[in-house]
Amino acid sequence: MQGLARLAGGVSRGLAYLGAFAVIAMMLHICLDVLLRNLFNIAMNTTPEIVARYYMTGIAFLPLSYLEFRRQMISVELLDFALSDRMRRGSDVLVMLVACGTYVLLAWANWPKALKEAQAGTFVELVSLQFPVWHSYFVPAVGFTLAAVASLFAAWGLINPRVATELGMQEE
Amino acid sequence: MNVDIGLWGIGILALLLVLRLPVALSLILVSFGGIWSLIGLNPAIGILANTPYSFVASWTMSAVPMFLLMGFVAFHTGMTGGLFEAAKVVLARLPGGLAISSIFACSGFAAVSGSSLACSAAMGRIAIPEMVKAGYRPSVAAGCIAAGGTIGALIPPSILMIIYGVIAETSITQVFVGGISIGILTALGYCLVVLVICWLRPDVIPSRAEMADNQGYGALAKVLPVLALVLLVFGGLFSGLFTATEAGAVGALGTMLLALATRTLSWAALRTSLIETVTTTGSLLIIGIGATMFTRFLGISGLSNFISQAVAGSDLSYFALMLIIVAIYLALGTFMEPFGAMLVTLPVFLPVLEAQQISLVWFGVLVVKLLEIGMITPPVGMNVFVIKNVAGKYVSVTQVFAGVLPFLLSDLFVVAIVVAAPSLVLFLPQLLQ
Repeated sequence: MQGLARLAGGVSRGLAYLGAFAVIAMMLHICLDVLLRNLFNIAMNTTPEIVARYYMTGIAFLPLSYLEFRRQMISVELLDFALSDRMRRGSDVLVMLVACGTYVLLAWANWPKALKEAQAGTFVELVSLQFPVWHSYFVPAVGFTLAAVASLFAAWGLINPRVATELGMQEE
Repeated sequence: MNVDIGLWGIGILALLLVLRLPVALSLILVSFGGIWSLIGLNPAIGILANTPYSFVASWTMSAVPMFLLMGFVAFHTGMTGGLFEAAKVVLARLPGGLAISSIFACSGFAAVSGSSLACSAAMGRIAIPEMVKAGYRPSVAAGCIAAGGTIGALIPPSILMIIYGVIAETSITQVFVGGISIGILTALGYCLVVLVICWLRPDVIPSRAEMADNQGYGALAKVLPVLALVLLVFGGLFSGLFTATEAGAVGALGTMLLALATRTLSWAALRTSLIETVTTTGSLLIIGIGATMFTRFLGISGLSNFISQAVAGSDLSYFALMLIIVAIYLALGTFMEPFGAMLVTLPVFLPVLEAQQISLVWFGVLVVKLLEIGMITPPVGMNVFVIKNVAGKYVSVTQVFAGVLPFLLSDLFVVAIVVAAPSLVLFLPQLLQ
């Protein structure tokens, strides 16, 4: 089972790096568009669609499992001072299980949507071309599914410190 | 009654937040349950299926990771470190000169970074040890930097302002420009506080004996990379070469190229900056998704309309309404993270403000100022915790909170001025129009 935890930690890190790659690609793509437009009056009509539908979805949804392992979701710390370490750990496990349930709900809603868009072959009309965008609808579905799995592993990691190490939960 | 379900939703949301469930997931769960109970399961699933993609797949929203990247790269490559040295050259001779230099350095940092945490961390590391060495009381030195850090989110670029602009459907450029006035007002207020303390309590802030590490006029050159970036981003933005959305990408690339040219961009700095950009963007955007669902839920329940009509019918004066809103944000700021507090409350406040014909550009600037005050108020003042992290050997958390107090008074004064005279914020955006 610890091998499984190692795999989950590795996948989440890999997806976070993919998100990081999307950040660099998006930056270069937008800058190239600005440069071509201002220097040579060449318009790259597909830039806003590629940025919005591919880079942005990648940056937002792919690192979700990494965020869960690193406990970087923003929460309110009003009660933290009143909880003992044991109570806080128990509360953290409970929060992770509720988080898992919420991600399952989101994945459950987003997979049929992605499949429907794929069947329809959804595209956007740009000046002279039809730009296919149906692939991008799978990104949230994949991100939410992996985040659900990650939350479950993170709950396990909170109970078992060795699993937490395999998941990378104790890294800075 | 549908409105009752809306009110129950707000109550359950508050409960989930107190029980430590992440803000984003609390918003999503409450919205899903609320919409299910109001109009059925299928529409609720429909909102779960459509909102995440439609919120994130946005050209305008791409400015968030780009401006974050720009700030993180500037921070991790030490590009902003020279700001304090440069400010000292000009300002160190004033009474309380080191503290005033640090406030000006924070304002300079703010022009390349949209985050107050990064601003506090960067300046805290450099300025607090030097101030303590020069005889400043550690609590006041730390308080000055914790407060100065809030300028990071006021002077554009500001991540809070970008997300506000998207949610409120108002011009991000105009909110940015409005932020310049309140950023400058805040900085001047803090400088005044330093001068007053220096005058009343020279044992807390000494007026002299702080030139020991001054590097001379050569240090002014250290401000050039930041100045070049500000000129690149805002020059291009206001001259029409690129839009506010594109400005983030140009700024991020410009920062990397400058860091490469000055040989400060290491692989580790780039990797850390990219991972921090991705994790921060991910945690912010999912709150945005939750807040969009929550807005739909409140809209369907009729609560937003109900509150707008109640405010309109109650003959609340402008000042009474603003007093209520300011009090709510200050209270939320004491224990909530700014993005969470903003996105949870905007669905309720925006319809009220629109009905009262209050400028959403002005309100965006005010909200960001109020939320930044929350970054330095106990018990959860993130800037204070950051300062404790970087200067822990000089001060305790309680001492930083104590040191922040005089600067908080200045903040409240700035809020009062901005509420009393909205034109102070709006004259620059109007000039732009």
